[in-house]
Amino acid sequence: MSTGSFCVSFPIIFEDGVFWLLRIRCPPQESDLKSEVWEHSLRTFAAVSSMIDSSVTTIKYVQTHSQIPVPTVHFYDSGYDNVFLAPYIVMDYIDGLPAPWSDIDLENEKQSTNFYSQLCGISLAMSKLRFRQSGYIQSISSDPPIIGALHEWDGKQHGSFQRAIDYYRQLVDNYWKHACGGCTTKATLPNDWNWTVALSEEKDLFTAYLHRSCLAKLEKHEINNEFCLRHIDLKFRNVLVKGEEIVGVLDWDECSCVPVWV
Amino acid sequence: MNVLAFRSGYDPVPFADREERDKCIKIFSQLESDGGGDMTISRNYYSEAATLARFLETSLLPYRVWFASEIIEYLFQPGRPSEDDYRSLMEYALEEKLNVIDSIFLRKEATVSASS
Repeated sequence: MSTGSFCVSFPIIFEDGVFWLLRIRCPPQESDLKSEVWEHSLRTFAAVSSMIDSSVTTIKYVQTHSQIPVPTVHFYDSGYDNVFLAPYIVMDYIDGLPAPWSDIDLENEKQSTNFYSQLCGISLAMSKLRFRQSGYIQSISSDPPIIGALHEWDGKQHGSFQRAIDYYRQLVDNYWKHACGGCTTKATLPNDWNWTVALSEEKDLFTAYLHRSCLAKLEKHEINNEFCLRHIDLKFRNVLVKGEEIVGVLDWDECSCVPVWV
Repeated sequence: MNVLAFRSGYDPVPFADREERDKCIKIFSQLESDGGGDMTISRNYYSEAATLARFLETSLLPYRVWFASEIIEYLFQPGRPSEDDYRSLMEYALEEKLNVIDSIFLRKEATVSASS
């Protein structure tokens, strides 16, 4: 059994030596919903289900449109009305170790270059999967695939957008509104105010203000309205390695189409 | 840790720590070139638009306030921002918040008076 922040996985071993993997998405607990832990994830059960649907669809899309090694999904249930009372996916077990636990030595120049070259190749392949709008891949029964809205940390929908600048405007607007709503500080700061003692809601307002400044600068640029696939957590732990070869890329939850800014 | 890249928007090398980032962009650039592409992604990686876009995507992160000092450095000045910089920017932010609230209030007031 292995556990992640939001999932727990079990191997399924068949008599003929075939291995599958059962990955169960842990449902949010009441206490989680109120804590910061879930701030960056999806707060509503419906949003989690939608994200699991998209995760499976994305894996299938990546499998058919690129050489990126991903596990084959055998079946899944994105709802909560099942034996686990939680969304789950049953997929191939890939014979490999997460990169941090593999024998790859990143201090070794040759091994490190080889490993990074493979990762860059995967990233390049993902950047070539282009879309006309932002959001989650919802269906691949048509070409181009159907893209739906992203779900933000509070369950709100984001997009879908066909113009990159609209995507960024809503990001900034949502953050600004959230920060303004949470900050009760008066216009005049106390004399002893400084960043170290600032309240977290003040820091949020401050950062959201900086984001508004970034947006104002970004709006002066001409941004290409092309979108590509972005794996939200392409970290070593999600990369399976056998020997020195990458044999699998895991965790396609929250993978989405985002502006490619070129 | 390369906090800028972690879970931010599109980034060709999200797996690379800060010290590995340049090396990885070079590898990515080589692969783009080998594939007969025009190297647009690696060429634009350090551009203003790409950097700003990556900053904006951090609003989706739970620890987005960590990026404040990097953004200030990038937007306003070379070097680390002083406490005075933070203070004056915080005052601007509060002022901006009040302006926005005022404008919403005025808009609501105008709507009410128009409908009556």
